[in-house]
Amino acid sequence: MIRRLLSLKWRLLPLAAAALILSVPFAENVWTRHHISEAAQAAQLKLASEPKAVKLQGTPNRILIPSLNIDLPVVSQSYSPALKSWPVSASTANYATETALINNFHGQSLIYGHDIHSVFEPLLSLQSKAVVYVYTDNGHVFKYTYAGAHDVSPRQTTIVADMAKQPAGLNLITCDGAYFQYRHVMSFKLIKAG
Amino acid sequence: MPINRLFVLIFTEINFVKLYSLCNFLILRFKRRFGVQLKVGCLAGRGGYMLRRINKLLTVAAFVPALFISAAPIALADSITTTGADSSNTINNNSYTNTSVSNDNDVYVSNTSFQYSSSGDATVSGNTSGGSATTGDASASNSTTTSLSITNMTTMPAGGSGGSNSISNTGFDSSNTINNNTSVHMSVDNDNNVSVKNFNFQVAVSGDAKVKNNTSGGNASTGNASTSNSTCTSIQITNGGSGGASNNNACSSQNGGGQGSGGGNNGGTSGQNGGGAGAGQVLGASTIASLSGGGLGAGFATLPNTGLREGVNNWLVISILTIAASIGYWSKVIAPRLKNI
Repeated sequence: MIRRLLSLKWRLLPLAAAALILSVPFAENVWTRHHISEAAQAAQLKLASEPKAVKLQGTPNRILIPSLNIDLPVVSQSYSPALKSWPVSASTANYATETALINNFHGQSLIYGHDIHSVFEPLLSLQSKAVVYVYTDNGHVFKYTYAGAHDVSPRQTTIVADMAKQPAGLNLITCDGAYFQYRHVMSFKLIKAG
Repeated sequence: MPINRLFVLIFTEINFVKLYSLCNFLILRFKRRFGVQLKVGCLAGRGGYMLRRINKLLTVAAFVPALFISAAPIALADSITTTGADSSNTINNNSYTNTSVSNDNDVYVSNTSFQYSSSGDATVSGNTSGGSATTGDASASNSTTTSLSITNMTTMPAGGSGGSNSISNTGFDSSNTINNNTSVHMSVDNDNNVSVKNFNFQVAVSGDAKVKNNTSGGNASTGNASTSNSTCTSIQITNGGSGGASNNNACSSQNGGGQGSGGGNNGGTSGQNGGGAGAGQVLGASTIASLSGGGLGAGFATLPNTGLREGVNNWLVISILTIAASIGYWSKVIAPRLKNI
């Protein structure tokens, strides 16, 4: 059978091309995982080399979640009183400038993103002990671990005020529910900053 | 009586006078030549037809100056007196008044208003510890009122009277007739073109609120910027007869004004009121820094809306199409050749 197929080698080229096309998503996924894994290792090395007891802070510009294959840029967004809404980038994560900067001493930061596969939709299946790395614009790296999650109403804005009173940490928000009627709030505890 | 008919009548009577004179002349010449007095002809006209025509001519001629002097509808007066037996006496008074009025009103009003309101910037920068900056509110308002009244008053002319006509002292079996015909025709053309254009442009800009480069917090807030505008347009057109026009106070009344009473018996009032109010406001910006954990919850209407329906995955579509094409290619190209080998 194989010999017979080989006799048709030129006629098999279209099928080979089709197989190549079908393999692209898989190759991309493998490459992304590899890339994120390397970035996580680099972040871990940087954290290991930094001394402790130094106050660090910065504006987040990248978020890395190796277990979910998430590696996204972060853009700063501000609440619009006129529109009474928050700007949401379609393809990146968004940092709420009204919350604390990413820091290692006081206050929690808020990063939010769309509930789509390429942004924060995988967060809904986040496992305990999952690790998140956040990079800042001044070169610092912060490592967080997943602490818990709960769904709240979109009107429950007091959680934003509460973040300022909490110890250093991170909150991620994305939508949940069939009609996006909930806000899935995930809390992360700071492990290390460097 | 129309002028052309009057002139025809005058020239006709003049011809009768000439004919009467010629008649007398011929009778006189006949008597001198032949010594015979004719019993017929124009001598009988002294109390007969010829005389009546002459009287009529004089009567008509007397009215000619009055016709040209008076602008009022003519009240013709005519009289016939002392006619012979079996005479036919007729007085015709024809009065015709034609009045034509044309009112052409063209009114164009254009109101343009531009308002710009801007509150200042508030910046807290380069402080070691906190600080605050606040700017005041800015507002601009405008009110535009256009009231317009057009009154076209036209009085209908009264019809002419029949005049004072008399036929008296007529002969036996005479026929006497007085005809008074009065005709009044009036044409009124009211052409009212009114154009009112209101242009209003409003821009309200709130300043920037910036907090930057501070060691610890601070807050900056800018005032509100607002603009408002009200426009009232009131148009009243009265094409009246004898009645008066009412006041146009639509814009002055708090209830939007009214139309008032209309015009006269032969007219009417049409009016149009239009008005409106607009306002714009840009709320001020507020920025509160939270370098050491500060923050705010109040003031947010909602949490971020991160719901978004995903479209069809491009790779999924491509994969399905590729698999379908491969199956077709296999069954049509590859499989038949494998059987032949």
